[in-house]
Amino acid sequence: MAYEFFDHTGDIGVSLSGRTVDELFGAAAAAFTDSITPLEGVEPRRPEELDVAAPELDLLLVDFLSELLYRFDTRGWLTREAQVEVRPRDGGWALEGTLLGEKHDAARHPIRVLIKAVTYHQLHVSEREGTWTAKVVFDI
Amino acid sequence: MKVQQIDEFRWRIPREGKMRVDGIVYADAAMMEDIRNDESLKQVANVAHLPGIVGASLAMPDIHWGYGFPIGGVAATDADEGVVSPGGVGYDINCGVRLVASRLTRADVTPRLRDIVKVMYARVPTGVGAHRRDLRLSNADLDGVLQQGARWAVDRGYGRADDLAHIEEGGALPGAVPALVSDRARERGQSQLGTLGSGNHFAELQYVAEIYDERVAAAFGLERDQIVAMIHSGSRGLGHQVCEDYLRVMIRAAQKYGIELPDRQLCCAPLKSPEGREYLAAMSAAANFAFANRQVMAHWVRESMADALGMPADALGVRTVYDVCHNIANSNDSQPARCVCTARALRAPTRQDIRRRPRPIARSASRCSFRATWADIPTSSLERKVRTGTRSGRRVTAPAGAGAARTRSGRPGVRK
Repeated sequence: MAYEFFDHTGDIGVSLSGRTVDELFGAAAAAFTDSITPLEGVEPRRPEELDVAAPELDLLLVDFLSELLYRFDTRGWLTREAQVEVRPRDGGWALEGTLLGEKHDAARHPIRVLIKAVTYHQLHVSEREGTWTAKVVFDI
Repeated sequence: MKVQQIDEFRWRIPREGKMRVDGIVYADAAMMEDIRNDESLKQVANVAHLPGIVGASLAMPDIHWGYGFPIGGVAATDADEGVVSPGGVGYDINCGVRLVASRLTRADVTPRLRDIVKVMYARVPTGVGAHRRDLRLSNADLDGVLQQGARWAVDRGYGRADDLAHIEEGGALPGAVPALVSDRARERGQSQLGTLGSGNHFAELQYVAEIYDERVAAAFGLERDQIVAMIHSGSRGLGHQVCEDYLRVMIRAAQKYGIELPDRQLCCAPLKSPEGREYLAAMSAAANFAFANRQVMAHWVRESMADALGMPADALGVRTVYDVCHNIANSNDSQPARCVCTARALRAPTRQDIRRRPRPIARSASRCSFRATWADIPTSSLERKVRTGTRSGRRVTAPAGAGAARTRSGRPGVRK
């Protein structure tokens, strides 16, 4: 599981990889949080359940990250670790699992940038020879 | 990418493949060098794929790499055959700029600058989750905001009635349908009215540094060394959620209507389709939230100046010069058969704008901003340059027209 940020004028692009699709989505959650505040400063204090579905796998990635954004924007929820299972469901794809994290605490979680949206621009998810990779761009 | 120079300030990306029109970029040769370094020209070509696009896919001189549309992209689509694209309008629906002027001069405020900025920081919420406890909206309040825009705020004491005459569209887009704004969008907006947000948004105390056209400046009541305030913000999480909700709708709609696009972010639906009409109604509601947002913040900036200086706001002559949006789709009243989508660019001037209204052009916080008008030149010669400066390492040209004034920040005010 890994992620790497790439330069996109005025926004943040992230390249993700994982040995499984579940790991790939886990990396996406970690990259999302790490964009906002240093990941290591977020404690896995509480679990939160989630269930997201989308017609295609790449759309599921955007919907999953948008769900994290919604939880942060409305409740200050920061995810340290996402333990998720991504499976085909009803002709599309679904993600179920648990987020471990905590609420934003200004004293412990310095803000790097605030993500405003997860975009579809250059969105890409694929699997090749046992490695899953993806690209996604955050609007900041 | 094939690019042909048309004249000193215009460049054509010729139509090829499935492009429906040419792309035209307004820039000089030095700017083009820089523009070629990222993918923004490809994005201009991508926008040219939109069904029903009229004339050309345009890019203003502030063009840079965005998502879907380039930043600074403008497209008009035919009302009968054309589409509307939420990604074209952008996430921050009705992100825009408000210019507030006062009768104060630099000399009046210099000794009290820190006090004013401190009060502005306290009054105008900025940063994660920041909001004022005295302004949290019920669902019914939110319906009012989404329908009435800036008027909702004025009716509740945030500002003065004459502010409305100086806001684009009178501070409310017609055709807003609050019921089409999702529960999630409402939840995100409920505590965010009157909040600045982050990124390149700011509320800033500035002074008029230079006048380029005395006559135009006088018409707007602007003079050298005058203290003004500029607010750059939009529809906050509510607008972002509306965009996100409708991108999801449009991805399905594009498949349904057989619209092929080179970038999913450009997903769209015909203007006349239910999806297109519903998006425009929800977008208008989000735009009205943004008008109300800037209205409330302008009121708090006005209060901040008055309180810090210990004088009544009316005695300071604090008034709205103009409020203009730059992320919007609407029917241009000079060409009602077209829908104009502007992505983070100045919207094309409507007939009544020309000769009358200033267009504040915001730049990054604590740097010079421009007030430009289209006065004195025909709209067909928009390539005339006013002045070049720098932004993010790139030269930026105020597009078109006689610049009325340039303002400079006294020092960073409330900003992110």
